[in-house]
Amino acid sequence: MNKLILDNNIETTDIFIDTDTDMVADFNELEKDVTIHIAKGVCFKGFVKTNKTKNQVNYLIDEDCDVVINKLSIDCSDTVTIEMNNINSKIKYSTSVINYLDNNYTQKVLHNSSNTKSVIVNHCINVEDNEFKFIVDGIIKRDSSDVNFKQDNKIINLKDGKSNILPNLIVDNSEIEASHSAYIGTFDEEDKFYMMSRGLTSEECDDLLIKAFLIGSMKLEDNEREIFSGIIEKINK
Amino acid sequence: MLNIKGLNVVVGEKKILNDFNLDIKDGEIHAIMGPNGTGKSTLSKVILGNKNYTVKSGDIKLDGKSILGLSTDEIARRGIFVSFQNPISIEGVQNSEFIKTAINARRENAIGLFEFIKDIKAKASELDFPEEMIHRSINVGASGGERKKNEVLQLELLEPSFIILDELDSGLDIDSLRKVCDGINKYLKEHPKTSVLIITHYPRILEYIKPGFVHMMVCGKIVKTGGYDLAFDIEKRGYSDTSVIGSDSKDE
Repeated sequence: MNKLILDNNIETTDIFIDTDTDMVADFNELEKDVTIHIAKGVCFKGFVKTNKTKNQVNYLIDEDCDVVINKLSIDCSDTVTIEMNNINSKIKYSTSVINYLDNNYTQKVLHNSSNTKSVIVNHCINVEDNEFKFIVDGIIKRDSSDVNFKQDNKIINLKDGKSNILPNLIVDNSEIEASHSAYIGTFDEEDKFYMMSRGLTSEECDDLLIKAFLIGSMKLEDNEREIFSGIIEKINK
Repeated sequence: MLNIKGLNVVVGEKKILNDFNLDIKDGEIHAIMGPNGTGKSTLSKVILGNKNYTVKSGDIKLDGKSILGLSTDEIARRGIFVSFQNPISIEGVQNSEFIKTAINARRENAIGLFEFIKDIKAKASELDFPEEMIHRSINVGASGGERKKNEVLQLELLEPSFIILDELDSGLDIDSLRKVCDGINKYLKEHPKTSVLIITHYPRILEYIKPGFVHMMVCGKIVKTGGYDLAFDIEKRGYSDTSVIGSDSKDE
């Protein structure tokens, strides 16, 4: 498996991937356009950390690709575009955001070919009283049949944050499956009551629930989970 | 141990517990039986300080000290454990991490990882609780029986001094019921001062965990108290039969 490591020293804006690749990306206070071209038949896994970035990242995916991206962002206003340009490819893109300032996270998924599948999971913990917005577009073109598109967007406000989700589905083909969901609120009081009934303080419950919410659904290696957990444990500390 | 005196509880305008009285001493096992909607499960949530219920008057004392007004976690750390009727699932929160955090909430020094894993595996094995479920999200994908076993697993690891079993038998087949009751009886033998309140519709569970006192609860209050045999009397005649309540009925 090829290993690709990206950080603020990235020079090229176009990266071509033609073999199975594990990407580790760590961007800090960066504003850059990057396009990743994933060639036919490639398995591509991304482990991405971003802090205060305003990047525009484009994934151009060819035929028969299997792409999994797990991303943890702190205070980012990134824009991510995913273009599924050829048949039989799939992507699961999980973005978890820890937000302290005013930010927008924009994601666009274009199903430009038939028999393509995307699962988009966007979760945010809005820590303070700031504004955060997920803008997520799913676009399925007329000649893209047998497409499966799912998007799940959730924002938990820990205080009185002003959060917003704009989930858009633009579908021009009837032979597809698509779903989207959006939730803005707090953690379930019943969950917290159950946990507190075992002696956990409200803060301990929040810590476990935040971690579950942000990385519970990601398939991570042990070391990756440890890195993300370390970042998440600093929330509210 | 637990003393409830003159407890009146409402949800909105609706009265749920009506001048409720109950006294349970160290090491005693009590059972409350009653029809649906009579406030049995509410009682356990009120004892745990659930904020959805308003206590209008009365008091709940644990070991002589009022626990009214305490937060749910403080009440739990004082030794009260409720095995819930319908244990919920929580996606993403790992069962073992949750239980370990709960154990550490009761200790000055955190439990060692090796000691914790040894304990939880041994107790899970005794309950026939699948080992892989220890590391899964709390009750996600678990059957009704597995959820109840998880409750009893937590009970055994958290070592409470007062246990409320809210319809433990619902969702359990007969073998599983026997297994979890064996676990609870073993715990009670090792912790003889621990008291138990069993909330149930049916006397089946009482054949495995035998109470010294059985209370019949109707419309938010105890209308009759008796010994073990009362449970079978209630089963035979039903809750609406006035001969069960009897003319000498009075609040406990």
